[in-house]
Amino acid sequence: MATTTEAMGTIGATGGREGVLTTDWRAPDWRAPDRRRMLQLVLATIWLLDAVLQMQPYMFTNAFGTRMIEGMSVGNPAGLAHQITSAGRVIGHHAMVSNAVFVLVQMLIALGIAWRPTVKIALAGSVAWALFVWWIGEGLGGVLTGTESPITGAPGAVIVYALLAVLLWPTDRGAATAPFVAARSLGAGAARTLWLVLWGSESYYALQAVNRSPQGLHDVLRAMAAGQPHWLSSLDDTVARLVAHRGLGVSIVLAAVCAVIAVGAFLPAAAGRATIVMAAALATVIWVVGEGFGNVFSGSGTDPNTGPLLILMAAAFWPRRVETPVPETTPSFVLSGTS
Amino acid sequence: MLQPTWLVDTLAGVMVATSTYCLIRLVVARVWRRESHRDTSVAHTADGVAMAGMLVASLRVLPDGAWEVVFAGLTVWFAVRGARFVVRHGIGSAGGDHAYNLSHYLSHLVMAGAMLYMFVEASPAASGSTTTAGAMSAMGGATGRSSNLGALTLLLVLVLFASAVWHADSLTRFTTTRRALVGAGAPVPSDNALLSAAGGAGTDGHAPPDADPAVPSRWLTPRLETACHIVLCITMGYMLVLML
Repeated sequence: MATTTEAMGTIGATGGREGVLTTDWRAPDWRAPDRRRMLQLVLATIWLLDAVLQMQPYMFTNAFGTRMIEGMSVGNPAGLAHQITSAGRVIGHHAMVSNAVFVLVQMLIALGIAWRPTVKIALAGSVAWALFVWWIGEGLGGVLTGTESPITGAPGAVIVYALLAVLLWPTDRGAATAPFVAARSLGAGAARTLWLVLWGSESYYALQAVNRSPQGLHDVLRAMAAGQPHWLSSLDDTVARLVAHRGLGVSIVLAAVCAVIAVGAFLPAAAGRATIVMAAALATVIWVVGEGFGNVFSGSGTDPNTGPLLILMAAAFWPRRVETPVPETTPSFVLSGTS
Repeated sequence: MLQPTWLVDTLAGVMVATSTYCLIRLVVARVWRRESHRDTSVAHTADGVAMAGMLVASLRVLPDGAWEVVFAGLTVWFAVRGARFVVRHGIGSAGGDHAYNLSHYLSHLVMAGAMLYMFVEASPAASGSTTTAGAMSAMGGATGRSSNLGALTLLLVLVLFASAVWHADSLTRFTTTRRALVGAGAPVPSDNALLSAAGGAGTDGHAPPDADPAVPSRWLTPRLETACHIVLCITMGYMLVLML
């Protein structure tokens, strides 16, 4: 018996007779995913995880709106705080319906990106949704509170979703000559500028007063350890001990690393690759140690936070070999004269 | 903390519908003598029935021990099939089809393994519960927050969701009707015969000459099988998320 995919005509092994297929289900104009499509599929996978995390029991309770959402208002300017509080109250009072809508929207975004005919509308929808959630659900990622850190997910995971949707938008401005995948939709200059702004802001947040304080990072990591599985809280506690009373030094090093990464997109390919690797490594450390995998083990995590998104973005900036077009040469025999 | 009943019941209903379709697919292929992929359909049917029972206790049809045997068997089956494929064709990609063939075994291996893992770690019976709420709370609390298995659970969730997305991308890979392969060794049937045979052979890509042309085409297309796979992966991932 042939297996599903073999028998779909892809290998040609049906009933043990190689190459005797007479019919085929495959669409004749279908193409295997290229690098950008693969990155889009990773983005869709993360959106799907978001949607299903939103289906956890806690999200259907009043506490999701009145505690989690309203909690984002703390430290924000009065006008923004009022908007967040109002939205949180409405969500809390209609917890079941509002959360069902949140799940549905994220599920549609995920499956929309994954299904080729709807990828553009889903990516556009993800940008609109991300901006809405960044504003109400994350309080603009806390960037106005002065308490955010790259370690805890500044400048907010959802804004990185929006950036990725733009960078992975399925249009081409010279696909053959684009130096990296993210350059295909916006062009290399605009894509590099977005990378610079993102990682430059990470560098800036690392130097915020609260992070420079001797116990700043230590306190953040200790707080993150609470409610995590034993192995993760032990890791957080160990790292917290290592950075205790070293807040200023660690913040300066972290800011410097982020700054190097920020300018990495403008460096030659070899140096660029090194900084991309550095970005992916730092994002991994942040995701595990600082973000606790987006707090997904607590039962109240709504997304995996910035870690995997920054890794995905790094992949979109990975320099690739650009094939130099060979100039056309005129065959000598064509113009050899007619006499 | 309990899941909303309407959500659990809806998912259980979707699982029952999915497994019923996969069972019908098996029967139709048998009755109309169409070559089909029994391992995939059997696995999908078992996944759907088992998950419906985990979601709503009244839908349990087998004791947990029996399900553990079933999914252990399916895990071994897909592991062996995958290993044979790798031995024959290697791991390195030789085109888009190779990746899809390899991912087929991997995703079914992970699905069977994930089901086995759920039954071992968090079956309703483990908590002695026989109610919907009890079943779901058992799933939510069986592993505990201090378990090192949380990372494994998250890994399984990510692989299942990646599989769902990968298959959703491949939906446009298939047409709703078959076309003839030029230059194939067997005679190429006429257009009418092709359209009639399109549904009958399910996913085997080769309709036997005596296949019944009366079987409606659209009900056995690869797209429907892929859709079943996507729904099962998402539901399985959801149940695993409750174990995080």
